[in-house]
Amino acid sequence: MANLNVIEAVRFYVRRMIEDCHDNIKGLIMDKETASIVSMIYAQSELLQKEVFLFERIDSTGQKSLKSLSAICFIRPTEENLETLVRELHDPKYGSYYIYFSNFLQTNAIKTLADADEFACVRVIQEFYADYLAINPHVYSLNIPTTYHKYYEWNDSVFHRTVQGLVSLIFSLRSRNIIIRFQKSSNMARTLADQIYSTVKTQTDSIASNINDTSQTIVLIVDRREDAITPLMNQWTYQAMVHELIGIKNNRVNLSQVPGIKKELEEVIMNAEHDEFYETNLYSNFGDIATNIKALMEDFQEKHKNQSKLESISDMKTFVETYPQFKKLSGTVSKHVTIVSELSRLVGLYNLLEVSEIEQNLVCQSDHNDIVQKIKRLIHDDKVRREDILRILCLYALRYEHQSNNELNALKNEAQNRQRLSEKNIHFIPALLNYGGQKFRQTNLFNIQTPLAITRQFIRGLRGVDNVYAQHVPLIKDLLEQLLRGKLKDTFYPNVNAKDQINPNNRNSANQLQQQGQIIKPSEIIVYTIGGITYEESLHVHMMNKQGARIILGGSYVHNFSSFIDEVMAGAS
Amino acid sequence: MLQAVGDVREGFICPQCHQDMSTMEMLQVHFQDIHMKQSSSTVKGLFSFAKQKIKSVQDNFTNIPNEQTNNYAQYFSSDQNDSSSKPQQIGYIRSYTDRFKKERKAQHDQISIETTRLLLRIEKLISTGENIPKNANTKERRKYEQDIVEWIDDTKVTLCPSCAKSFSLSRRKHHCRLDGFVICDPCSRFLLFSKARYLIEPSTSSLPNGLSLQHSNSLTSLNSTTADDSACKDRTNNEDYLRICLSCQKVLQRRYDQICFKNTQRDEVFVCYEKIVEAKKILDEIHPTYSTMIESLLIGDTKYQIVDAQKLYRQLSTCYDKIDSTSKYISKLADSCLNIDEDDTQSIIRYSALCRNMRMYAIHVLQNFAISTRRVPSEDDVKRAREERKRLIEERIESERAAKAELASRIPLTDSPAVKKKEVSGWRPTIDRNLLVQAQELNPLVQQVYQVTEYIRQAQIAGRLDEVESLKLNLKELEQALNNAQQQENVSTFDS
Repeated sequence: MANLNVIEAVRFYVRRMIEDCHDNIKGLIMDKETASIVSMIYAQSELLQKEVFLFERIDSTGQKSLKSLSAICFIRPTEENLETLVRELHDPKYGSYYIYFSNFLQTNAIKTLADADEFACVRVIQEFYADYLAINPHVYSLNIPTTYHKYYEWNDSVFHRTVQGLVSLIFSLRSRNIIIRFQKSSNMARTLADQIYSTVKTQTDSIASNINDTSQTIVLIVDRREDAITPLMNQWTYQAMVHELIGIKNNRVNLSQVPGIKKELEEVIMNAEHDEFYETNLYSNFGDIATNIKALMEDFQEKHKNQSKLESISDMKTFVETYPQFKKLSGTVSKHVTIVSELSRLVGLYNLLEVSEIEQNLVCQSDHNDIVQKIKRLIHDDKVRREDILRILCLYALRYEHQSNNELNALKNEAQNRQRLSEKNIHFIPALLNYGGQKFRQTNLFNIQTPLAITRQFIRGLRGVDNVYAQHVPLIKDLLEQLLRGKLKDTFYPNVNAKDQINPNNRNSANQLQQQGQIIKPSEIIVYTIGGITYEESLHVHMMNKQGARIILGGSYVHNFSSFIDEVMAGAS
Repeated sequence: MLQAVGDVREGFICPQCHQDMSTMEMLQVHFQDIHMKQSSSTVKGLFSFAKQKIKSVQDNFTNIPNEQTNNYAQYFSSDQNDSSSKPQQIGYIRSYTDRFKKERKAQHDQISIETTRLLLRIEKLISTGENIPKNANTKERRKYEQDIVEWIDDTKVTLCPSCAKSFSLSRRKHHCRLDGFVICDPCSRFLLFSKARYLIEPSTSSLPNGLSLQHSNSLTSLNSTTADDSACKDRTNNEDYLRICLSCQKVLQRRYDQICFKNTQRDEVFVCYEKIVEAKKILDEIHPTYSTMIESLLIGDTKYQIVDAQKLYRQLSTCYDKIDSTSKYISKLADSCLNIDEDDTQSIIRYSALCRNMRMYAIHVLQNFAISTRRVPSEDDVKRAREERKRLIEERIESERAAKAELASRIPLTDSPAVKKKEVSGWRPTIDRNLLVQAQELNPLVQQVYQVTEYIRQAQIAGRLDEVESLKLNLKELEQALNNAQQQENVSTFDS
């Protein structure tokens, strides 16, 4: 059974746009957001082969008309874009227009556009619901860096964008029967769930045709505040690590800070769709990637009878530089060698192995005294970055929030005395406690008491830890496990549709089923995290999907520690 | 870094004393020996119970990523009607095109009624019949104009409707010749007859010189205000004109823009690109034929001649050259940017990007063809291939002949029609000699059955279905005969 794939879903739309335009010379007109949506899934060269010769922003100026060119406009239905489009149609640059909106249009928009189209050059107007960034087959993002505003509430424009994005995702996957479960403790989750429910309900009738489709989709809406730990941790799988240490933005990685970087590698594109090595190693452990690159190079060496040994990453780097053929042969590999060597440099430079081990123990073990000693040692280690000390202190603050022998202040003072904690960062710790402290959380994040967690720890104790750096399991995985087993409590994660139960016309028989205590078997689960996801969570969902689950994970943003700090601070003010 | 990973503390660390054990067994032994002894027997019982439980729980943790289990699948629907069992389809789409076109049509119809009405009036006003006065200020002319468009009574109009200034001696009342409304002189527009004619029949009459080359497409250059120099000139030039109001001017301007839109000259790039498209079409057509031709030449077939292939190859390479040279020319156009204002940097960037992308596309097309097009083989190659093929055919014939001779010498069974037929068609079954030896001891009838069965088997292998059929018929007859014989034999023994 084919898993739904968000990358494929967006590709379908873009492909259809281009195929429906039969003219020879095409141009793709986008706005800022749709441009990133398209760039996530198509390389420009790929579109070029479909005779798309021009890539333009809708707001770009320039009078010269190109009447022989057909413009495929893929834009979001914002006021601003509509105004620009109306102006454009009054004085058209291109010969014909194929207009695709990425979301619902206001009813009067059609009339406004029709009146503007004096030259009758509009051929098509459609809504194509590709209003989100498809990052991996099972991961999407709405690219909203800060969701929270003033005391962790919605702001209108962000709320509107979120509803649009999530509904478009639901429609692009052809899900029509949805059950929405949301995190009860979060007002934002509740408001969002209600709005999604009513929007989908009103829009479905005019869009979806296949009533016989019995498939059920569960939409789980959670709030990042329930699990503030995951974005604080250092990561050791490739994609997560690159994002944490260097930063991935719309599949682009900026390497200009890397010492001695070559001009052509200052900004590289990391897209698993076009990069086989990246695709296979997305979820590999740091150690494995190096081994894989090494294997690839040794294979090449064998062919070219080169005997020099490849012992370290720097050996590999020199090797790539001295063998231009190899560079050509495996174009992308040189990019990955650069990145992996940079990662390994940073790991050594900042003592990240030690930091990460303490992070993991802090979250998953429970020896308080031991941890405090280790943290103190870390504060005195000059190799450790300030931000890593902040990570540790944050984790400590969350973990021992209400412990009587809490030594947070002592640790804070010590860090300050050693000048390892900046002014801004001191404010972050209380902000974080306010953001994701115990007061807000409804479940125990360090759920040491739950039976599941006890067994897990027991097994861990027995088997030993596979990898000390991957002990932490994000909360979302537990939630999904519970959801699948029908054990996710309605008191914590209620169902939006439950309110409609009285309605006799409700054709959603699943509600009744659920009432009778039966577990619904969904065709897929869509997770939306208010406040963003992390690549660590993506990794765990990927693992579940590999074992037959059909889960699509997404959120407002894909966070790393630094973007997470910004988000938390934005909500606190 | 590789060394660094080697330092990682992983493996079997005892949960109690954090001692590092190298294997699972060692840890188990260690745990049982040291820690279990300390604990009471109830814990021990618990432990073994937990051990059983662990077995079932264990798989559910991804700590064991190597295990390729599918244990989540059970939680998902596997219904046949379920959309998830089908391959993913394009997501939902909502089309507004029909509604849009309806709205647009309504709007356009309204405009076109208005425009047509004005154009009809213009046509009458500017028509140059003999008895129609042209001089704008004569009474006859005014009468003629008023016959076509009724002028409104200007006695009650005190303000100019467009600029709202009151009329006076210096600000006199005028009438729009197209709808009869009152306007003041500064608000009037003047439509020259020549331009009016162009509006009515853009295809036959061309715009007077100088006007078609105006920078903007605006009609204001066409009927300019009195303040405008050119208009004054026009008026003094004695060219006939019509005084019109702003709203009529707007309608006519729209008409003018539309004419311009339809008649815009195509950029050179697009004309060039069309050549590429054409050439590519030919390439796409010829290429498959060419490929099969080369293929057949290389295996020594005589269906095509080298000359044919060479002819096609020449055609291919002309197309190839055409694409190459045209696209090169286009990429040169990128730098020249004809007809674009120098200040309009955006347009320049756009234009050159377009040209460069076309060139890249062309290069890509060429590369694809270059890879998949094989050169015409040389005379020698073909000759060799043909000789080889001839040799192969001769060899086959030779071996067939030899086999036939062998068969003829070995088997006296040539009287079977089926066998004869086989020989004619160049396929022949062989007889297993062991089988023959064995068969010789048998009844001749049985012997024949054996042989025919063997033929059938071989015929089946060779895929000669019709022969299999006929052989089967033979076999049946033989079996019948054999049965009869045996029955007779049985009967005779029974009798005795």
